[in-house]
Amino acid sequence: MAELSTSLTKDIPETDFNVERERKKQKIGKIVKNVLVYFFLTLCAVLAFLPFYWMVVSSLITEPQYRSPVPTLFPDTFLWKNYELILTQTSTSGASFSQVLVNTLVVGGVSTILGVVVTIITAYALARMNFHGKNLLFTIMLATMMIPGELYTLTNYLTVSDLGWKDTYTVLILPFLVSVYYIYLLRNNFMQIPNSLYQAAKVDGLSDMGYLVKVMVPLTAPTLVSITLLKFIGTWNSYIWPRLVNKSSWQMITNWVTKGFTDNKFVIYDGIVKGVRYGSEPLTTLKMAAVCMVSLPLFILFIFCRKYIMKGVSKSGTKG
Amino acid sequence: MANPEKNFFAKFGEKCKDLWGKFIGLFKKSEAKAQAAAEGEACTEQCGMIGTELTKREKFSRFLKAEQGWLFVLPAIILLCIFTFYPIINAFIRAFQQNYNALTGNYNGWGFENFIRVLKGDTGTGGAKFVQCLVNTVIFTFISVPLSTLLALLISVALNSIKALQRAYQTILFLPYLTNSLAMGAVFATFFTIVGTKNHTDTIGIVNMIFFPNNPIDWMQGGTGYTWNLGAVKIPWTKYVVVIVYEIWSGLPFKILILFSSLQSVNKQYYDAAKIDGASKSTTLWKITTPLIMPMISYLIITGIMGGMKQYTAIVGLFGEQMGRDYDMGTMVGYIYSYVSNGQMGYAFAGSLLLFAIIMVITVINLRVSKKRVTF
Amino acid sequence: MKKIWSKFVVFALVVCLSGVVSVFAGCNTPTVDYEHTIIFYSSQGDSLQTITSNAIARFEAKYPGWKVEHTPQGGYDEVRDKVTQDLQGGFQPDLAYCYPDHVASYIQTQKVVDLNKYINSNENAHWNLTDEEGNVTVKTTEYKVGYSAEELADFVQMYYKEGYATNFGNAATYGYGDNAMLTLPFVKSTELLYYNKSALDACGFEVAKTWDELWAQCAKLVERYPSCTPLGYDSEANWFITMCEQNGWGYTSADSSENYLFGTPESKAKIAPWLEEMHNYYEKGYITTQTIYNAYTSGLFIKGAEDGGLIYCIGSSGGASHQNPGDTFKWGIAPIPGSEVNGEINNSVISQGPSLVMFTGGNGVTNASEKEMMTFMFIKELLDPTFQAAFSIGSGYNSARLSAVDVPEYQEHLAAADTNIVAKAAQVSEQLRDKFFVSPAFNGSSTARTQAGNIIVYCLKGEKQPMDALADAYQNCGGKNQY
Repeated sequence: MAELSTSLTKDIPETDFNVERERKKQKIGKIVKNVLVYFFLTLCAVLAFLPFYWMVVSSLITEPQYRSPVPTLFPDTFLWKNYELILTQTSTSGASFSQVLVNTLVVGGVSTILGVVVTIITAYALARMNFHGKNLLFTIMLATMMIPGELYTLTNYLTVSDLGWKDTYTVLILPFLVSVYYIYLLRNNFMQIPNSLYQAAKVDGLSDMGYLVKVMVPLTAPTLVSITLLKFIGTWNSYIWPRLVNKSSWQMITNWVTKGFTDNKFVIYDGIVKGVRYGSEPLTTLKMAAVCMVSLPLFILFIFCRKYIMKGVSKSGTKG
Repeated sequence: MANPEKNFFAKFGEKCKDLWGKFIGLFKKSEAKAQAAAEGEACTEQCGMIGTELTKREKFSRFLKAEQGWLFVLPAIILLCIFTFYPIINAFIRAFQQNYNALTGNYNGWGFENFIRVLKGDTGTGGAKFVQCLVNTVIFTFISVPLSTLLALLISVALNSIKALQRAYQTILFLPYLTNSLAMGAVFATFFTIVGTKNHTDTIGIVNMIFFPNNPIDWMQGGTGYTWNLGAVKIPWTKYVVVIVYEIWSGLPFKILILFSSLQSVNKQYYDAAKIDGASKSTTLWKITTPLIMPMISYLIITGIMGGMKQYTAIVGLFGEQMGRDYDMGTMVGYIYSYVSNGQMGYAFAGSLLLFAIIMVITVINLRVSKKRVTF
Repeated sequence: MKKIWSKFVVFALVVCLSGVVSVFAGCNTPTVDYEHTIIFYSSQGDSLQTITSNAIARFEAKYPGWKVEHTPQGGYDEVRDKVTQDLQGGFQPDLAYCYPDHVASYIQTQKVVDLNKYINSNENAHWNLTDEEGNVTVKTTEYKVGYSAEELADFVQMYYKEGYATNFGNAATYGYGDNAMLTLPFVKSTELLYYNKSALDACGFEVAKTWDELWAQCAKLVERYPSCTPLGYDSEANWFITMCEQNGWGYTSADSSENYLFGTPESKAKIAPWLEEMHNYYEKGYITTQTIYNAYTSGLFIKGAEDGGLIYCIGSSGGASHQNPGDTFKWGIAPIPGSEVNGEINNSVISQGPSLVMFTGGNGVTNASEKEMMTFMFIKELLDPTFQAAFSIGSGYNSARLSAVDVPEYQEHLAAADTNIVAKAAQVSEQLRDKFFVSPAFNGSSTARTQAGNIIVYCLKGEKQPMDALADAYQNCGGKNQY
């Protein structure tokens, strides 16, 4: 839209060329364009933010408020009790929060690093190297992307059990280390880098490996950072697989979050703790609070990594 | 009870280990040879086997050089073999076993019965219907993926063109990626739901409040007036709208992230050149920017379609385990799941192979189309 | 030189990766001593886990060297899925929460233990101890394995009988005798009629004892409170099943010649008019259900009659805390309405809740029989009246043991019945014991349940004619016969 308005202003016939008027028009066009762009972005941001906001609000209200048919969009008072309950409750047979946090960080860290290394060298080979059966291999890899991963779950579960990997970190790291999706993404990125660079590097006496490390990796830094970030988020959010293969002390943070929050012996009515709580229905507000708590680190991570993305981008821009 | 499956796998695993060991050995040898060679030719001279040894070594090093790509992809291939290819082969086998019982491992005979029953919808176990699921999935995907890609492109271009608040917008727009799709599905459901009885309406939902305050639509239930019937297939379009809106919302962050970062990496010289040539902004967008980031767009569309064909959790979040009523909002993966939980693994495997075939066809078409437009 | 360097780097990378992989694989020694650890899957939330941990602690103190690993799996469906997957690889737990239809599927593996061997045992619990030199001695405890006749009589018989093999489809084909005991009841819930006493009093009504009485009250209730809805039923499926039971229409049967009785012409002819009637009541605004209302009807109940709430709400006894309206109006709890059949009122009410099922030989243990015995000793801990009382107080479910009611804490709990809605719910459901029924379990009974719920929703909303809805549901269940 914004571009359209500017193009209109530009298409005016240039018969009586008036510098002043033209400049003014350009200025107005620019303002109009900016207003439209910001309006559009704000609208999108609000829409993107709304469900997230709802999640946060839900974690700050009481269960009866949440269950009431009229959604509470603007709570009068914020109820931090939900967070307090989550942090203070210690499950007897489940894992502690710190334990699952350590699990998640270890698994997230190791599988991200290993995963990115594997992705880089595989994508490089597929993009730049010539060997027999490369295209066939790539096609087969692409084809596996089309099979729903759920299909693997059962067989993989039996596999890892046979290997005796249950209740370990390995079982959380290895099966999902290779992501064809990211290999494909990075390969596309590598392909974009002009061939002339490669030849230039060869002339400079750079080996394949040197070219990969010194030229390609820096050039695709933004994508690599994105992949790292997405990979880590994926590990952080993994849920079904850890639950299937590991007992609770070896599980991940999302498993901890999605356990039934029925505990806390107190039901919260109107912010006042009243009597003993019965019934085994889970409390959604507590769950929402837990989901918020788990999302927060990711959010912070993104804010920091966003900076890094920008850095990488500007670097590659100057080199281009 | 002996489990043939287990034995088979144990053997398979050992074989893999064996092969791996051999591989390692092979390269260790070659390394040793190379070192020996580097240490000096004197040794070979003394041995008196100059000619043959050299050609062999040369041959080998040439082979190594030509095929060193395999070395690069080896780790990925090994992991893929164990955790991806093997399960797929397993699924292939199971799909052709008739009345395969996952619990006991029993089956009676081989054949296409599973496929026939799946396609006919004659599975008789209360699971989803194949044709309905296929139609649902295709419609969801082919509406939501192009729309969200286009929207993501517009947003990325807009983001790229501003300076102030760029970070803030980018951060907020990325937020949906960090949320849990089950939880968010439930949240979206509340936006569209009318809660009430015949005598009293509690709420008509935010969407109705904004767009249809006087004549609210019960989006989440559909019902007689809001369903098109195409033979055996039902199209409850109000529910479709909910799914598509959700899909667009949840698909945006990743697409924006990718498109925006590739926009940023587009060489500024191109734009300067365009400016000098007097190209308008829209011309720049469609004639320069878009073609330059076309590989990324085609990547997003292809993976988006693949992801779309595999959607499941969001539907469960929105419509519950039953995916609507009688799986009328079922997707292809939902179809597979409905039979996994029924214990009818044969249908699940057959269904997933059919899904695989369908996505394969779509991808081939996709690649053909995108090949015409970009050098893939 | 450069080339060699590059190769070396790649080579080192591959070696590193494979090294990491093999190190990971190598250090994966099993962390659990499966021979002496009882694996227990449940769907308990945190508070219930805390209660259960007391039973585990008692068990571990009584039988030194034995451990219980309690692994909650989420909901009942997750427990079923996990057990099913484990059974396929031979990694089944020793003990698990179960619903009858789960067991109907588990028995195909023949790994479900017939508990009679232990229920009727005269032995004391014992196991083998191996010392450092490899000598095996038998460690015998003072605790009896079996149940005495008095103890067996202390089980709520209705619940206890659910465990017989005859209740699980074609158990006989998998080698289970008719007297085989496949499950033991853990805790159960039922459905109750929560009502708005203030509103009924205002109209001069007593709480309805039959459905006819309830429908007769509706017109006046709606006239007095125009925005109210007289009846909300939380679970459509339970409604359908209960009506079939009360009126003898026939819902399902474990007899595999016709599992889905509701699809037979005779049953359809009887059920359809009722569905038609319910549709009329729905159109008049007398009824809502959880699916149609789009939320728990308990939330609607507590709003009060003036604000569009319910007068009657039928919901689980386990969810009583959510039915508490506070000071909005006076509440009451009664048995659900009955149907008048041949001059007699039948107010059968459904009984649901987890039982316990034991599996043998999981994770390749070599001491399977000894482990079975110890698992049974843990079951006894879970079915101990004192523990059952504590669990009932904590969960709102009914105990499987009659004497749990005599436990002082439980008495104290019940004493508050007039002011505490949860205690009242427990009290009323205790009185309903002889009215309980369970629907038969077989491979496909959970599908029938889903379809039953769908029938109600389709018919109430008028999206399908009753006869069509019944026929469609029958077909979706995979009914074998053509009618």
